[in-house]
Amino acid sequence: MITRASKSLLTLSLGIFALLVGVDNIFDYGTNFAFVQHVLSMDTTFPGNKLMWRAITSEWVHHAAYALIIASELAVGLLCVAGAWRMFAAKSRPGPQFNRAKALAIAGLAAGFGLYFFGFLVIGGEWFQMWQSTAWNGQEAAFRFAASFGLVLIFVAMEDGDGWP
Amino acid sequence: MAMTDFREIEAPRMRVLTAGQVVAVGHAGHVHLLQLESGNTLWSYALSGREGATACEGQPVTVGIVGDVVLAGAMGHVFALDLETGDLLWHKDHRARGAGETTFAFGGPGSDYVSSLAT
Repeated sequence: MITRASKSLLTLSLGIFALLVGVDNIFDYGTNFAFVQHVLSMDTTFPGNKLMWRAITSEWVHHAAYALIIASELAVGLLCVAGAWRMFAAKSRPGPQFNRAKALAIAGLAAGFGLYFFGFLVIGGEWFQMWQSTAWNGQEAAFRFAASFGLVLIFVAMEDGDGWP
Repeated sequence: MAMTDFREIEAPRMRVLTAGQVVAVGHAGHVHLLQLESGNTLWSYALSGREGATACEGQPVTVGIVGDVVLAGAMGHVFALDLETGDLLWHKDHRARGAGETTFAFGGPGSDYVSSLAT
């Protein structure tokens, strides 16, 4: 029971985190919008690098990308919160039923991992060469978030039997 | 004999400010000139507002005052601003690969001292 409750609570904490990030980005739009602008514009990467053709300076694209990020954060948050509730509600059910109740949580946690790993490390870090920037570089934070979602995803996805604590 | 139109005569502009009366502050992509006595802001200049200098937004800024000019440096960009008005006199982009500091050295042969600043 403790294991199942722990899976639910950890998923809930990540869901609240993602919701907070999304809501904060709506109410404090400008702070992280500057981040999106600089990463997409590639204006703090090494001058003269041969990948500058990837830079996007169109402001409406910056807004659209930021809106997509915020929407993804909110979606991840909602999936995780709903998934946590479903797991918590099923925590006393037989193992197979509890395992089936994990679907939303696994979807939310996987989406969270995908958002921070693919969105920030693959697209931001490598496609837009964010790694070259000391000024606007969110790789470390993105890795912390991706690692948190990944670890909880592994824990939650482990099959639960009926004899577990 | 031509009449002189006194309206066309420009009187020499008097400098109100001198370097000793002000302090230049560089922070987060901005330069601020403050009155030394009161701390009041005389003018502010956003380095990233200049075309081609968006990289300076939010970055550490090195500042110095040489005569009637405030020099500011960030991300390899160097700006010269009018001490009195804060107007841009010139801007040069010396950005290079990497994250090198932007430093200044003032003075030279014959001057009393040389100082250097860095961000």
